[in-house]
Amino acid sequence: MANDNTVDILNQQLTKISAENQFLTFKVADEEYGVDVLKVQEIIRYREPTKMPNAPDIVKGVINFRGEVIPMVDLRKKFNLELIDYDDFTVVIILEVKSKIVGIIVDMVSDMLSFNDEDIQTNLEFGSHVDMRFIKGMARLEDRLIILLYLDKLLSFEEYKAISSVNNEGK
Amino acid sequence: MVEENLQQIFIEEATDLLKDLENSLIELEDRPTDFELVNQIFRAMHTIKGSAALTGMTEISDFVHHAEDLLDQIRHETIDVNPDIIDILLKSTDVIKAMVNSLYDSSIIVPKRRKEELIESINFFKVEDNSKDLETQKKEVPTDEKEKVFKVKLDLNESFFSTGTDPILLIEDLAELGRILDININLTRIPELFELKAENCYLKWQLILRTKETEEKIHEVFLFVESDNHISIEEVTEDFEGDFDKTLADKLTGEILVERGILDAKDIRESLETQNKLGDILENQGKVAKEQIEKVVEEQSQSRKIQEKSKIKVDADKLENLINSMADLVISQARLRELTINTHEKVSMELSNALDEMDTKIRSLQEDIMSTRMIPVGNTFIRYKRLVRDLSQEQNKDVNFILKGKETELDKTVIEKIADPLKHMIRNAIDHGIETPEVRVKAGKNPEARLELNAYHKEGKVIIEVSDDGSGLDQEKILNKAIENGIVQPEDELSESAIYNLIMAPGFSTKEVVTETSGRGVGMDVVKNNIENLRGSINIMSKKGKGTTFRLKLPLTLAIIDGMKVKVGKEYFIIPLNSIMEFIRPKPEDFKTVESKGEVIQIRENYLSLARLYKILDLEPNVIDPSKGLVVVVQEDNKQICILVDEIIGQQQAVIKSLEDNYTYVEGMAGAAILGDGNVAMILDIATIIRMSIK
Repeated sequence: MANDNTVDILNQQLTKISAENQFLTFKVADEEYGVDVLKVQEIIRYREPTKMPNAPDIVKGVINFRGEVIPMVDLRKKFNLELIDYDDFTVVIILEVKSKIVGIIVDMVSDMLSFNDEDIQTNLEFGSHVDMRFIKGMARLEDRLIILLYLDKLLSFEEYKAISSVNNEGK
Repeated sequence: MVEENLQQIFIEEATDLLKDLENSLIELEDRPTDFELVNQIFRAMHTIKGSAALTGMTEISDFVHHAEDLLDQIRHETIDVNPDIIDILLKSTDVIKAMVNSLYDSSIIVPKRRKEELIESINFFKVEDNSKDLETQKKEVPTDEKEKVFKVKLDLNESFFSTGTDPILLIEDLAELGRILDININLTRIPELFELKAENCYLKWQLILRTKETEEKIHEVFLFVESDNHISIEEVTEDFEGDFDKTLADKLTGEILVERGILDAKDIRESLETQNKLGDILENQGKVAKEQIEKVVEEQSQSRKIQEKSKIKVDADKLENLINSMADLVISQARLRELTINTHEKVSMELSNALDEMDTKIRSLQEDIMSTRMIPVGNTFIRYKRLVRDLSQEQNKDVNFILKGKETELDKTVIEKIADPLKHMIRNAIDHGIETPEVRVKAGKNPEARLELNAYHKEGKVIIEVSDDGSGLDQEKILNKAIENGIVQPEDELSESAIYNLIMAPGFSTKEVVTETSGRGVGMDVVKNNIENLRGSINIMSKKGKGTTFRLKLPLTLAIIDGMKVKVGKEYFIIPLNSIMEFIRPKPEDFKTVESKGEVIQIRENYLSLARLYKILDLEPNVIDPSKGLVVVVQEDNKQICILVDEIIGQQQAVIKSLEDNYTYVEGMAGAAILGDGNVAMILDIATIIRMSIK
């Protein structure tokens, strides 16, 4: 499978990473996103997670990753996009965010890219319909536009905890 | 490098000693005349000074020197122990602690002024007693030598009395030289009554003497009898620790009896020929008195206790690794077992036998490993004495702090994690629960309040209770405050315990009652969170005017539990075995509804409410009809309910992984377990599930 190869090569590259401003890019619904490569632990193929009771929609479930139980977040759900069936290209990028390990489910991985600071545009203005909290900036590479994600904000579970504990009490 | 190592050792040693020191000082306040305790404190101080000097921490050793001086005066009774002195000594311990901590944590700075102030107050006490000081110095000169311990054997001739000397006088003379730690009489030479000659001496003595005098001085006592009798004097200082013979631990009762001179070796041999418990035989034969045997046996067991304390320090990381490997082993074992189910029947039989054997071994290995992490809660409990003392002094409250169940063992990590919550609850009890003596007297109570910390095992869990006999919780006040803070609505109807639980709701703690110690932003909600993260629970019981009890229920260990694997829809769950009462498949007629909403199942004479796991957890079930599925009867906090599941897979040990590590707390889940096939299953937290089912 072509996809398996890509994953292997990328994983190999991951181990050699040293420079900053390197990004692992992936696709979700035809848009290309990038995450800071230093936060990436591994890329694994999608496997059916264990459902987490009463979890928010975006949390697909939990899996066993090297003896740790980690949550998996479906990025399509997170970005409120149309859901598709998972296929051979579907991968899970394992990230370490604020010393927690989380997997994000994406349509496919594409590249390992580095950008100069001047290639990254940070002062972005969109309408109120675009949630800017998760976006660090945009990078341009020839005719590709890559949305760089701000992981700390994107994958914070604090809000769920706050919600669930409010629900717990008082009743 | 070497220096760094030395320093590390010093830090560890000093930290331990300081902890003991603090506890001993607080004890001293209750027993100011306990000479042994003063000595113990002095020794600890002295050791800290010595090792500090050795490691080159002159700043520390100089400071400790002052505190040691003060203690030395207490030791020589030139000054009496009073709360002020205890206070100074406690403060000095704090300063020393801070100085020690500053060695590795550069953010800690000990203000010079604080040290100087303390030294000044120490000197104040010393100067005051200057006149007495001189006196003791004089007295001290000749006795400066170290005390030695001698074993003195008096084997007197039968004709001893004819010389006109009395053994009692000899012993009295000996006693004047120092302190007699032990005295034993050998009765074996006493003949039958009709052969007894009144003028003969049949007794032999053996004494243990602690003295500062020399061996010659002891010989002088026996100057006139030594030539005709067997008198032996032997120095045995090395065998003694304090007043205690530490060599006893390794000796047989008989050996000790011989050594003590109570018996001769030949008597033992004779007695051994009849196979009975030696002590009983000797007693029956009238060779020794029962009390004598009981005494040596008792001493021996104490000496053994002293020896048992010998421990090795192991890096906590190493223990952690051991546990992790253990956990992996349990997972591999589970995988192996799953694989055998699918093999050929004959092979599977043999394999499963081998696996069962392995099971037992893994279990005992696991218990051993777990036990290395189990430590008694006592050390943590004792730490609070200081807190209680300081707080009650500060608020002019009179508190009798009682510790119970200090020997109850609990996983080290659990103890570490409950230390702060407990501290908080104790603070709360003193700040808000316990009244001032005047108020208490008016209410007809003992002016001295009672604050009790108790730990015990129950149903495979550890219970820790913090209870006070203070004013108790005021339901109305709590409810009003909760409504004010928007935690509950005025129209909500709450049970008594639900109202008490409100004090643990986030956002409940109001700033109105801030004191120096409690109300630092951490409220009972943090306490509750900490306890729940440990898979534990808190219960509050209170009676207005009578007091409040906080009951913490904690798992014995955090790493591995015995569970039952069940299936609902496509998902597997683990139910902790110690919550399970029984399994049943109810008959259709046992299933009833109440007001067509609540569902109950009749089990023998009782009706228990039915909780459908798929409803609580929002899952797609395969079984909806309770008579087609299986019902697990679970119990927690004396509440029983039935939980409906699709099927039961089997018993399994599960390695508990925290969901909180990488995700967040999930209501109803005690954690996650990694199954043999590498998949994850949720572990149900039955107490919460019961609560959720009642909602």
